[in-house]
Amino acid sequence: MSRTQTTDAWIPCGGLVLLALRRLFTRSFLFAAVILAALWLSLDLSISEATQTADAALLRSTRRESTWVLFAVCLLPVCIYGAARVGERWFGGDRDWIGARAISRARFALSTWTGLWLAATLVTLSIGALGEFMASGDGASARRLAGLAAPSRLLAEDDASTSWVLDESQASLAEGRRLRLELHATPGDGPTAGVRFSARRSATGEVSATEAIVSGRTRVELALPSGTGELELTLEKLGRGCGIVVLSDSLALFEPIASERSASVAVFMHALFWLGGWLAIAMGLGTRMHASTATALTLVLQLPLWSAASSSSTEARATFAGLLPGSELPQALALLGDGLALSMPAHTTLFGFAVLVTIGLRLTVTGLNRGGVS
Amino acid sequence: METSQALPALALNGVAKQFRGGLFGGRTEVLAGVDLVLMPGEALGLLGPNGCGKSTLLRIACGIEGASEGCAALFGEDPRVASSRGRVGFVPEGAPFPKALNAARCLALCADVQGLRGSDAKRACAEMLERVGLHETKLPLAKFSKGMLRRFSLAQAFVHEPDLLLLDEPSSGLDAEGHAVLSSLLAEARERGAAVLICSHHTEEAVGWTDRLALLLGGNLHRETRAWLDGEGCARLEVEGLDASAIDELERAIVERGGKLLSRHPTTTALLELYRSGGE
Repeated sequence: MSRTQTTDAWIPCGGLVLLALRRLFTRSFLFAAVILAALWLSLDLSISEATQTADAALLRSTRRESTWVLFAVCLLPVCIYGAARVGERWFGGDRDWIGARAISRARFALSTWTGLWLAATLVTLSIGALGEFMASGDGASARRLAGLAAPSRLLAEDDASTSWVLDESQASLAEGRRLRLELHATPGDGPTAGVRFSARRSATGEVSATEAIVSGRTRVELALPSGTGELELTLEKLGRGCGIVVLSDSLALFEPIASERSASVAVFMHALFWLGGWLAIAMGLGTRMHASTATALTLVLQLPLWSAASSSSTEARATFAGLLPGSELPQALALLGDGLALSMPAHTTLFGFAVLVTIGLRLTVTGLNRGGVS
Repeated sequence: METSQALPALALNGVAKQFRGGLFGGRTEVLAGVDLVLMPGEALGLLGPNGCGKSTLLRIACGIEGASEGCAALFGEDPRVASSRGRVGFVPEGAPFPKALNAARCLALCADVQGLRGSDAKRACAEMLERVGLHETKLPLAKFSKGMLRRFSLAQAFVHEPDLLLLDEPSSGLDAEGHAVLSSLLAEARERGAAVLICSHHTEEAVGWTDRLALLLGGNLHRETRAWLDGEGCARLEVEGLDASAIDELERAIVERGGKLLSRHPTTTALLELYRSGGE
């Protein structure tokens, strides 16, 4: 009697997990990554010497952001390509030695995806670690909790103002948190204009306010007044000056956090979910088309999704971003550059992630079964 | 267990296979309704020219590909169901294994994927590598010669002591020693009651290792008898234990009976002994 044992179909096969991991970490991939890291470190040293007087927090956040962007752009598509090659490898020989064994196509797909995700996680973790090494320091920061509703307005006339009310249906407006309003200058009477941004508790009448000069794109931050509950917000243009545009998605709520490193952790978590979902999709597509085409298609698909996540209304965006893994990744990177952290992926992202992985694995299994095997 | 013993190790019922190809998706028929039953303990040699569908038949039998028509069964189960393949050992046509791994790691991987785990797996892999003579090499498979890859193919097919062996040109590229290893592995497998199906171009191999022969031509399994090959008045004799003069006498006797000796060359055994003696 044969010595083999039957294993649960939904437990990844350790050997295949390691094989997928090893196939991604080829010598050329590791060599390229090390060379890139060495080049980046030497380039950063020369930049550091030229910017001795720059603000330390700004330098740290810039280093984190640029490291993440550079390495993510260079290395993560390779991970996607590795996933897209699963079909090519299968039909090129893997099925001749795996297909005749006591392992289902579904378990093979699950094991391979697990290995690829693990490899991509290690890559992402390394990028984050390099970013922190480059930043070589830490400081207090803030975490973005939610985007809040704001009226779309153009304050063109002198002393124009707009007011709106925020309730706690979107997020807790507790004391200690901060509002951040992004304003855009438009042609008017001069290149700049003064503004006053204030918040008043409806229940207690407590007020906090801040003033700023708007030019180009300007962010105004305001600490929430003491107490809790509904807020009446007012934005006033002070005197003459350029026009000021407020967009519906320009207001966000932040809370103070102790460490800037939370921003890197947030990027890592968003990247992890993004990779997990889209590696599965790339695997599925790769069983139906050339690996390069599948990689390109997977990456191109991100553009409309990221665009939709950033351009729709605040509520729709929150829902969409919460569901689709990685849709907030561009925002997480942008905030990282500002020294701020995006909140961790929502619970609903787990659901979206599971759906995406299921679709990808299903596509993979049906793709691997082409040729009549079911 | 008794039920599975009574079931055929492999049963093909009207198995047909067509491949689509070309701009307009025209179909090429490779197999046209093949019926075959292989009981446990039986060994069948499948002969046929290149492109006749031998490999396709084996791939359908072990669940790598599906049949366009008809059905296959491994011990009564559909080979497309993963669990049914647990009792199968397959030697594929080429060497499609992960080339970056060395023999020990790759064999451990094959055993793991097959469901062989723990200390049993370690021991079985080590023993099998020693059997096929690959226990000392640390080279990755990419650096292996064709013969070494074939030996590895044998190791991965036999390591879990399968009840059905499907071997596609198992001796291709093997040297005399490899040939001897294959013979002993097959003999052991047959001793424990495994069924064997061997595809080959070489009549002598198929005859030596099997009980019966079948010919695959034009997508059909034509004849399934060993007597058919012997009946053509042409046979290959391998002689052992005679000196050169006795063999000369044997040759003369053949000629006297109206026969013609087509070839005379040293046997594989002689070559193997020469290898083992280090050429002395």
